Amino acid sequence: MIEKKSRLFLLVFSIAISTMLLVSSIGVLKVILNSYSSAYTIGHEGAEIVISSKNNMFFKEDDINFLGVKDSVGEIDYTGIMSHENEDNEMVYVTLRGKKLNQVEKNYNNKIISGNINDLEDKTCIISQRISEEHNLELGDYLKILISREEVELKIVGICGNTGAFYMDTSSKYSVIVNYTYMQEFFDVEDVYNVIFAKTSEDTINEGIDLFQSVEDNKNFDANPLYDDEALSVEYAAFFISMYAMLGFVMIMCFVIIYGAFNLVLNERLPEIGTFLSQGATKRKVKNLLYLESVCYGFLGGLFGNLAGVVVLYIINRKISPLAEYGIIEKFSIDIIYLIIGLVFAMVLSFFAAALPIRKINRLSVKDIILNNFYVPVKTGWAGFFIGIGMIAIAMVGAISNGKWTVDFSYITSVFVIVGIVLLASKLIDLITRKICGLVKERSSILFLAFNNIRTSRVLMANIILIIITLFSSISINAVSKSIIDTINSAYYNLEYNIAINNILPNTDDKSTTDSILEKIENQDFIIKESINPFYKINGHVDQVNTYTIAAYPDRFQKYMAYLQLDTGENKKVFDEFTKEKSPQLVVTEKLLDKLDKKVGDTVTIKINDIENDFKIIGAIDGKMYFSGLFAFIHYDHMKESYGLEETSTITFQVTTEDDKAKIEIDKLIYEYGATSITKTEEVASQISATETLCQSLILFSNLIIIIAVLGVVNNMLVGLFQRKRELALLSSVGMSNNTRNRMLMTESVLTVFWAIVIVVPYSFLVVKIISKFMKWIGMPVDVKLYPNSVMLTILITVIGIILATIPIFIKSRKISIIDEMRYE
Amino acid sequence: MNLISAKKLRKSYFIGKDESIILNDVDLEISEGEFISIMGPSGVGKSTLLYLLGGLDTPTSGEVIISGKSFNDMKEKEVSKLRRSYMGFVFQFYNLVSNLSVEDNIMLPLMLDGKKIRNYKDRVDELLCYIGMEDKRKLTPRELSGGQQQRVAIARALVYDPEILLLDEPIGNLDSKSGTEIMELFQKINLDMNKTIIQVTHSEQSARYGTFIYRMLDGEINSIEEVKG
Repeated sequence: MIEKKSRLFLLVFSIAISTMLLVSSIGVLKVILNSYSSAYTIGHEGAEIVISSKNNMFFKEDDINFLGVKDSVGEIDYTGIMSHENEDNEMVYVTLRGKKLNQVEKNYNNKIISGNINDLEDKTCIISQRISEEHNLELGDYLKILISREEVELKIVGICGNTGAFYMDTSSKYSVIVNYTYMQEFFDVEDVYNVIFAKTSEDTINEGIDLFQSVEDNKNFDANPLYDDEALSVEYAAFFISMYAMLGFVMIMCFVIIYGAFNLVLNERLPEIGTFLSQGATKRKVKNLLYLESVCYGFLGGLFGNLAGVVVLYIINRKISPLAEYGIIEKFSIDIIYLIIGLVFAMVLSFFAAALPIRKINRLSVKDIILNNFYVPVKTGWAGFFIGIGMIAIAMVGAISNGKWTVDFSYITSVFVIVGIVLLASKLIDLITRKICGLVKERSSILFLAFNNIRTSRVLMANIILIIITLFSSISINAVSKSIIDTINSAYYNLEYNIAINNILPNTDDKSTTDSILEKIENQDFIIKESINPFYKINGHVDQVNTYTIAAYPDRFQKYMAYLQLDTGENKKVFDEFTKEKSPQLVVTEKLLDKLDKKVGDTVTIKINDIENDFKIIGAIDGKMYFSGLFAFIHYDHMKESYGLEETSTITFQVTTEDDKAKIEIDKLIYEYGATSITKTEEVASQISATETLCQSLILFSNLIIIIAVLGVVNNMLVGLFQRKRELALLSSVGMSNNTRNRMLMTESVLTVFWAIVIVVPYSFLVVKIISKFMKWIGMPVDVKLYPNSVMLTILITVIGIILATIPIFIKSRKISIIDEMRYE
Repeated sequence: MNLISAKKLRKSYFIGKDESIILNDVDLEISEGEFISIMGPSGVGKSTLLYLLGGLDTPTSGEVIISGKSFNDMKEKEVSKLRRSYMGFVFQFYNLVSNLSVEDNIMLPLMLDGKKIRNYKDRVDELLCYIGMEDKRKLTPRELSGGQQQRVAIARALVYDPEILLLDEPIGNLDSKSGTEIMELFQKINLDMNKTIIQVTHSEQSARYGTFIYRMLDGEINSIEEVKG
């Protein structure tokens, strides 16, 4: 009874795991977008679109045609910095939201915890309860804020609940509400705004924006969604693809497990099936019954899988909620369609995995079924062997060659490399084991019997295949995850800089913050002047492709970006031309060129902040992992002049002193501008931590795969035990002791792992080569390597898992009764 | 000298609260060289008695004594050793290991005992010759007829040169011609090799190949008949 319950559990568990992965894979994008969108929407009192002027900082509401948007609310917003450093020396950014008093009353009146909205006048502000607690601020306290290097003091007149404008407040970056009239006076303007928030009047945000932008009156205005779905999708693309790849691995394994479980169910039911057939049921009817049963298991597994998928998505939602550290989790919702897809998938998976053993009924004679005289010898045909060799040969060519096709078709070679070895393994093991059997026959009966059983048992062979897939999955996943970290490490260490300055905010002075900072750092003795490299990293569109555009001085960027080796070979030629030529031109990555379906010499349009300019492609480079290998490169001056962007994204440079000491000096220089600096070491750590979620998910999957495999192996061993009951009873009858039988069963288990290891370890070198190409294909060009320690650990865990999985078999084998198996009556 | 004896041998099962007695305090003594046929209707306890005598099952009470030593006093390992070296079993459905060749099936008890099988090559050749299957040593059981499979099972039972052969319906699955050949072979083994044979059979004709017929009824030995000439 327990045995049947365990098998039901295994079946439902396998189906549920696959379903869980499917539901999480297809649902994760929506969860991420929801999480971000709700945070931004709440933060802007329900608004979805932000409107600003393309040319001026301030604009009049009357100049705008509000077609496509509704419920617009204008503000004068400005981000300053706290004019004192906190204990951690961390820069604290404060956004002043200049709102009209009636708007503040409408949205915050019932949310004020202490103080009074009516006191919001002149140099006063309202802060959130969260910031009040974190910074120990009370009513009547003053905030000293640097705005355009001018220090202002704002008296706190209200403390509000953590919602609306305060929703996204964090300790180092928060908003305060000030009176609109105060901001007017501060900037010496009247009846103008620098930003308007609105909702779409159309069905979708993009439709509203398109309609707004199509109006001639609005050509000087820029409408954008508060959050960018497309950019988020691109940012998480590798994560999604990895999830689908994992789903693929797990699905194959679950298929093998469900197949095994149904094999066992079928074996156990043979007498029952025999009875049905003897009473006139057709094979078709019996098969339909079993198919129905498999669909029921699928339904049950689908339900649990959906539940687990919802839990996974809920956890992801918790993890990525922007304010999770404050206990604020974005509202979680899931589309019912995902659950329906999950359920259908589970039933289909179960049906097809069960179909293989069920179809076996066709091949059996009714007499054999009734008498339970059921033996299907293992097939180790030459056809599979040669097809396997063919697939591996193609995969090898794909791994060794350097042509572009090897990347474009890497998803096919990835399948070939795994399926090939699975097809080849049975015959290969059969051939080698035959020889080994002859050699060990004289030396050890247990080894001889164990090797012989492996060669001839379908179940043990299925276990080897299962362990091969497990080891491949686990070793590959670990290799990918470690290689990603290594690549990031080496990429950043290969950048020629010591310190980078970021968060360069616009100001109201005549001189831009960038120019002011550049002027200051150029005068420092400890900074190598030739290495100063300001550059833009701006998200926009190259033709229709959403991508980043890098703008820098080619010669300086060439030296800085040693990771891309821009100063050697073809890359050098391209960049040398760039330096000489001043006309609008760009260099794209090979991947972007491919995506644009353009060639060198063609012209493309770069659209940034709704401003479009044409550029001629003068060359293509391998972008490796930098921006996932997808970016365009233009001259610094073109970005500044053609797109009117005064402030650069980053300034990097090299120093002659120790990085940490130099950073302290730099911080002093840039503090008043609100900019921040980071050393190369800190940057590497932060980049690695950014990929941590992906790597952790991969490791989690890797462990999950081993657990699934062990459960599958236990099931297969139980199938084997069931099928071999008579054989084991016979061995006992001719004098095999319980101890010897256990040793034989353990030897079989160890040998299954042994064979899997013997095949997997050398073959993994080929597999990682193909995975490297596959990674390039999915946009993460990582040179995947094998890590001996990680391989050893995976093998060790698998060996321990399989040995532990053999224990239930020992226990069950003790219950085999010689009499029951041998006696006729 | 008694090779096997059973004292107050009892085997019963509980079905719910009711005790179902299969063997009811059976006493018997079998001497070296005897060929005993146990007969009786289905469910009378013939096979149970055979398996208890072979140490393949344990009695509810009573004991089986082999060469002066009771199974009750032996450890599982000793019983296993005894099974592979002192006794040979032949079953109705031959019960050969399907993935081993004829030769390997015959050598199975030797392998399990950790013997150097090259030392037994002559013995295997001799047995293959004895059962008339020298040319089939490399075949697997699936490639043999029922009668041939049963001959292999007999050779396997004899490989260790055991004192006792225990046969459970040895010709129950064979046609009459093959059955006769097999029974003649057993008789030959009994006479040529002086092996003690105990068989369970439904067939009066095959029972007559032995020296004594034990007839069972309701879990007890009802009568013992000596087979003449």
